[in-house]
Amino acid sequence: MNKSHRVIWSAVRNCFVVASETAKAKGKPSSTRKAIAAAVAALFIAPGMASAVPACGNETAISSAVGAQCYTDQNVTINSTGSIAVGSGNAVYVDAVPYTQAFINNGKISATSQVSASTIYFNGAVSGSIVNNGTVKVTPSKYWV
Amino acid sequence: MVGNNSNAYSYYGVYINGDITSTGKLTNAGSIIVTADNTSSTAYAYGVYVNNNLNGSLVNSGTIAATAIGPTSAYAYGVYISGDLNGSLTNSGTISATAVADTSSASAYGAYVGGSLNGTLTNSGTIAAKTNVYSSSVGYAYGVYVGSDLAGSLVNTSTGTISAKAKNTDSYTPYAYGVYINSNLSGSLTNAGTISATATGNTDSAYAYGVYVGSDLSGALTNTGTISANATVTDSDTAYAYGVYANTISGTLTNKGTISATATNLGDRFATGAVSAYGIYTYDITGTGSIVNQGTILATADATNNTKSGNSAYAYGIYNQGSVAAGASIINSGTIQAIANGSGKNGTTYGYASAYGITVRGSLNGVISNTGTISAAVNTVPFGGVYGTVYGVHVSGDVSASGSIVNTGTISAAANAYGTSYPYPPSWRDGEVIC
Repeated sequence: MNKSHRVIWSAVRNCFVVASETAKAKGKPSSTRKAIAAAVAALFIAPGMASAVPACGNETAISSAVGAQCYTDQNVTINSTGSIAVGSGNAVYVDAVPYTQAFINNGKISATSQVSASTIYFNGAVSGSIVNNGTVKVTPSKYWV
Repeated sequence: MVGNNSNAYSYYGVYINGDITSTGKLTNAGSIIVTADNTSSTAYAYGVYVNNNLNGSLVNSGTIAATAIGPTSAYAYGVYISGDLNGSLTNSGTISATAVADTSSASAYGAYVGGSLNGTLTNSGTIAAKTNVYSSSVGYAYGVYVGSDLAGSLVNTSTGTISAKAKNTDSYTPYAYGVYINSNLSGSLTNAGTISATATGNTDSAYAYGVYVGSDLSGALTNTGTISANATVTDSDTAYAYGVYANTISGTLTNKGTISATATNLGDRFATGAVSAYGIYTYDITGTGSIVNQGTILATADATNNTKSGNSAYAYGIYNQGSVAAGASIINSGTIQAIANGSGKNGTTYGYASAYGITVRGSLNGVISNTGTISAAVNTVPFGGVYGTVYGVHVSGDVSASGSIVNTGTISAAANAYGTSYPYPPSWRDGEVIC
């Protein structure tokens, strides 16, 4: 673990984050920096949501039951037999600014959370298309106090 | 934390952290269901959340439903656009928002546009907002909410329904707005379907607005369908119902359908209880502004369940608080009807009831023209005591040289008492009828 850190602007999280002392503060984000930012961002999200931002680049054609997914600017299709379900946080996190591709849900995407949650979260503007023919559902965990 | 919302109890179906750009499109033919409840704090539920402008299109032919249930406050939004709607929002399915609060306020918005509506919003399906408050707090329900101007077009087709229902079962105020425009209506609002607002209060006030324009109606509002507002208090106090409310009118408000307002008091607790119904309400008609009625405008105020002295019912077909400008006009070739039902009890208590077909509380510098029917009536319950005032057409201020009232139709006013007559207190007069 790094013993010294620096604060840099993260386009991924749209906020300042603490990162490795070797992370660059400027320039076009590299895939490494995005990964760092996403990992650091995970430290700042609410308890129980640490799994909400998995490594991006998950399977883009889903026909079975899977957990949380993260995508970049990719075409994504959840088929009618496919489902994405999470117990907390975001079910789908799309890390693209903007998103220019096609996101199609013919299956089921669901999130259950004690605190905040999104089923499908786009981290920037959308210039492409989002199509939901299936079910998108957010349900809070019961009896959270 | 999800998105930029710092509240820990926010739930989103689809969250877009930026614009839907001009080439962007969100289409829902399935179901987006969001429920926020059993949190320890304020609950927020958003079906679709756009964290800036909608420059492209959002099309719903399925279901978008947001429900927020808070032990304190609750906010529910079917579709939420934080900025401007510059593109298009088209609904042929169902968009609904329901907010229920136990100890604080509840707010529900079917479709929320935080900025201006410069593009188009077309509804041929259902957009509904509903609140229920169980405490001494406020409830706000908006079918469609526009935070700034409506400079583009809002169309509710013949199959479209936009509704808002606000209910408070305790002691504070519910507000219901079918369509709410915070500032100017400089574009067009066209309704061929149904726009309704229903506010139900208990021991405090209730406000219902079919269409609300906070500033100037400088564009065109055209109704060929039904716009209705119903405000009811179940245990006295005040209720206000406005079919169409516009702060000022410099454009054109045309009714070829039905605009109705009904205010009802079901209780008997407070002597000060007052119910007021306005078919169309405005402060001033300016410039070349006009109200044109070729359909039906109904206003009904009913206080017959309140037998306390001093209770009152007021009904106005068209109410103009200020003046009608020299180039402005109120033209009726349809039907305008105002009915106020008062109460009282066996000569021991007395209520007030007033009905006005058209009233101008300032100067009439423009034209009031009637080729249709304007009627006003005040009724009492059997053996009741009501001080009644009824006018077909009423102008409080001057009718200037440029002003005129032209009638080739029918204007009627009636004060109807039933049962035994009891003498009014000496300082009161019999109900006057002026036409």
